[in-house]
Amino acid sequence: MLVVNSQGWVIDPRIRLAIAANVERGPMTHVHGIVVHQTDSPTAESAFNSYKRAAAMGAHFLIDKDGAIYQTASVFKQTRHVGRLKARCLLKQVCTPAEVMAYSHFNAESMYRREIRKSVPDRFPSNEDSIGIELVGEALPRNVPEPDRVYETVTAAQNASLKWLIASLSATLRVAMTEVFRHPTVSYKNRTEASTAQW
Amino acid sequence: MVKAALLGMLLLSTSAAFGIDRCTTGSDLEPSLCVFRLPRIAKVNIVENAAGSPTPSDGIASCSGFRIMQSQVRRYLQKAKMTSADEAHAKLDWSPCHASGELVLSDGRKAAWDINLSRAGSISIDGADSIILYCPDCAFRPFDQ
Repeated sequence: MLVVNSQGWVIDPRIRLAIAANVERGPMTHVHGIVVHQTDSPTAESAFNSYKRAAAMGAHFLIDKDGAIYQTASVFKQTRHVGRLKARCLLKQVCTPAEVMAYSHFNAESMYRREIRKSVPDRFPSNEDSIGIELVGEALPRNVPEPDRVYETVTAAQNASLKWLIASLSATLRVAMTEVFRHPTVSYKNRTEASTAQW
Repeated sequence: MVKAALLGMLLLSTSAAFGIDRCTTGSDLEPSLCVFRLPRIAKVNIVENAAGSPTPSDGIASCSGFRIMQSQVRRYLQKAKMTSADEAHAKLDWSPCHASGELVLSDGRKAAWDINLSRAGSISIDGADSIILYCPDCAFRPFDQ
């Protein structure tokens, strides 16, 4: 179990506080899941620099290639790390006939509008109710179109830290391990993002 | 007087969508978009079409419906706007279906392009870094399938 102070900061010698106020949004009253990402940036510094912009996009934690863990947002605050949700019923193969009809034409915006009206576990965890963990790593090579890029392999040090962090957050925030996902599982993202992450 | 007021209203309404730097502010789900202008396109060549392999959870049976024509590539590139890599990574949806190719501009420069079903794309002119494109207004085939 982790010690979390009143501001939502984790007090633990393995976690370095690097709270980026620009990443934080409104309060998060319930945590229903954890989503694992890769930054698509070469270093932790490049990610931290992007967090300095107004209304920055980021997650709650960031794990550098050497396994160093940084907390970048309060666990009591939402961050915009997920994007539009995929339909969970497609993965579970339990869509209703109306959903099958609605989702037979690709439209990520309308799919999201339908999905966000549902509750977990009928939908995937969203920006409003999930913790995001970023692993430093980019999709390469940069000189080919995005669909052809492949994310760097997650380092052994990153995976060791990720495994500890997810187990600790799961126990502390009472998130079932079945509600921990790679980003491309829950949103339309490059399929190789976090594909080599293990927990 | 009335003309001046109307012009002021027009500028105000325009600047709400596009600021003085000709970029939108975006939102948590939509990227900031900036005006993108290409010289006239002299020739379009499609190398890959209806490419990609969706999985069952993508909600698409196959990419065979995403077959783009040269005229649609031109139309897309006329209407698309550009965004940053950070904004694209965080906010644009990735699609398993895409098309790609090359084109020649009227000034003789060559470019490589890629366009996907999510109405996102990229263009690299004369081997320079890719410019990331997004066209929320491209509600025509093959995007509206």
